[in-house]
Amino acid sequence: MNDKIKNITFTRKIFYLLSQMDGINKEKLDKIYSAAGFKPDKDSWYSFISKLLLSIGTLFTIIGIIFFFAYNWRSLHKFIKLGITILLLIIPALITIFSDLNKFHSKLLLLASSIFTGSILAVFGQIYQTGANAFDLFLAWTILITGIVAISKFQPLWLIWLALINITIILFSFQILDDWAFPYILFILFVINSAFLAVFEIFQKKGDPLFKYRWMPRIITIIALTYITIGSVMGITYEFNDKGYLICLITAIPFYCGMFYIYSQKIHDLTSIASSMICIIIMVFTSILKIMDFSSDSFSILFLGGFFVILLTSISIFILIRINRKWKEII
Amino acid sequence: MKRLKTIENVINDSALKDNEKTSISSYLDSQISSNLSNIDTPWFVKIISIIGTWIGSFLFLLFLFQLNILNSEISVIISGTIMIVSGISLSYLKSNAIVESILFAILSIGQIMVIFGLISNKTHDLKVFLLIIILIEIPIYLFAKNYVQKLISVIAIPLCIMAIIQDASYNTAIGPDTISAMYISILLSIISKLLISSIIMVSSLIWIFETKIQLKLKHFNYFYSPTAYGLIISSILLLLLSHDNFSYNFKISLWYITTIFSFAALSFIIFITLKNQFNLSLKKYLIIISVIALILLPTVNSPGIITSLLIIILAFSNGNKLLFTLGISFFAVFLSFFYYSLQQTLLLKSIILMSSGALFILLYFVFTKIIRHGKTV
Repeated sequence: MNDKIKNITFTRKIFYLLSQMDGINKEKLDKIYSAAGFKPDKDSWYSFISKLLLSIGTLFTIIGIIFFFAYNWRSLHKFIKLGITILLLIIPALITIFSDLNKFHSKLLLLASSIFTGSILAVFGQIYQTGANAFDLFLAWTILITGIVAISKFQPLWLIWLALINITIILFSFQILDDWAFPYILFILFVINSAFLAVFEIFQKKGDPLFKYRWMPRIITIIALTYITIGSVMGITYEFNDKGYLICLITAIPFYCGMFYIYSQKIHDLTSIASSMICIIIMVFTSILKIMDFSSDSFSILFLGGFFVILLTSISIFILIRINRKWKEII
Repeated sequence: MKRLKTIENVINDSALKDNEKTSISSYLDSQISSNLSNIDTPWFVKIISIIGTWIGSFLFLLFLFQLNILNSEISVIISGTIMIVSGISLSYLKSNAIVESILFAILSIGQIMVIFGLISNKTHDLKVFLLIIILIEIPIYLFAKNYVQKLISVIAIPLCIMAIIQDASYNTAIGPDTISAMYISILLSIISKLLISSIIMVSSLIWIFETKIQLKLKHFNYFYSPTAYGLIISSILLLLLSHDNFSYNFKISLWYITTIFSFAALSFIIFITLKNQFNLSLKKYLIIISVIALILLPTVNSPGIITSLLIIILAFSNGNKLLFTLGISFFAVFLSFFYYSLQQTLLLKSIILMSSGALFILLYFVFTKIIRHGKTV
């Protein structure tokens, strides 16, 4: 068998292809089906049923407790309200102190502590009616959990912290600044997320096992691309009535090129390249619609525009498939 | 669910004879080599192709409107029909991700044009609009080879039928309150529940007998995937009607009809997998079914819960991660609907939830004890 084909993952598509083979019967297909792992064995069934029962049981109990407190919340004394939320923070924190930080349950408890920090701030604000903005809550939340994030070595918690930073900046722009700052806020958010991405990829390239999973940099890439693309698209639509949009566009183009180069040559990740290509297609589409505003010959623009977008899509797909095959040959 | 293996590992690990392994290897070698771009294409490449071709096709459509080619209903219908026929015919050619997406865009725009041409200025009757959609989707499902288009057709047809029934039921409900109107309402309610039940039963059987059906379909197996997934998706979407806020048109509920059919399908799959695969005795099988029936009895008017559980079990028994994710997501949605619509105080709901939680945790301990006891014996 061809080496390239041997190492292809046996998916359902391959199984369906096999069913078309002359001379194949149910008995042979069943053997392949079982070997492919589509049919679970006894131990898998036991594990599945027990996990299902425990998950549903735990979930129902937790939600029941939340509903119970929600029912009684108004009638509870303010010290009890604060006490409950503080206990929700202290208990997981105490358990973590006496556990090995490298264990999964410790990391989950640190995550719980970080989330309950936010609930304490919310309850505090609700009881004492401090009049603070939501921005103040998120800013305080972000600052307070920085230490926990630093020691956690847990990617989901890092992502939550990054999300809080993003939310804090967005709320700052809406609640404190005026509309004029919007394009600059988009640029700042893009810079912050790209910086996180760069740090992550540097550590990943060094071979740090903590940074080996690709889901987080992919999410951050999509977030960074979204900000810069929104800024550029709005700039095109509003004819760059603000310098901030122009800054976004000038930054976007080298960023897309940089994404393409880094993720095709240095770090192998097709998702980031594909996301950049989608953003380029969206930018081109917006530009075509904008050109129509200035031109009387909308027929040619629409015809050429449609043709150009499909051509661009085809080129993107061709490049992606080619890169994918090239990597598989190297492996 | 286990991680997927490579082709080589699957063939080596299978209990086939050496000559059978050799013939399968060479068959896959030749088939995959000639079709590598379709087999090996990452999923996001298809997403890009769909987004890009849709944008391009949209611009072409605007171009056609600007040229006044589409300024009459007849020209719209004719252009749309030409696009549909072209899309269907070209789907039989050997294609890659780009061509498939272009054909999908052509088919979709063709359908929109034909529907628009047939209904514009003629009638505002919802039933006619839905019937037109059904009449267009049926031949497309039967003749188009495009996966996404077939999937959309399988989802659209039952939804349109259900919408027709809902519309008829609404007209009966707002009409005079006579005995015949009441019987018509009951009949329409039963028909709608039987429609959903039949979709659930058929989709369950399609997944349970996956191998047999694949062998029977042979070179028409491009029908299988979109039909199997499409029926599951349409059954879930139709079951959303079982939530109070979405089913205001039905005076009579009768959702327990769907629950009974879903339970029958669940019992059948438990019979096929657990009883046959693990030689479970009939007595133990009946005990398991009775326990499940007792636990799910309070949800008899919320068929979404038992149907999502059925999808979860189907998905796990077939090692299908996508179906599993669908089942788990909608299990959570239907459970939320169920508790939200309980006509009880928040206090009572919390007690019900905590008691249910305690029951499931107890079942977990009993189950693990039985398994441990079985292993030591």
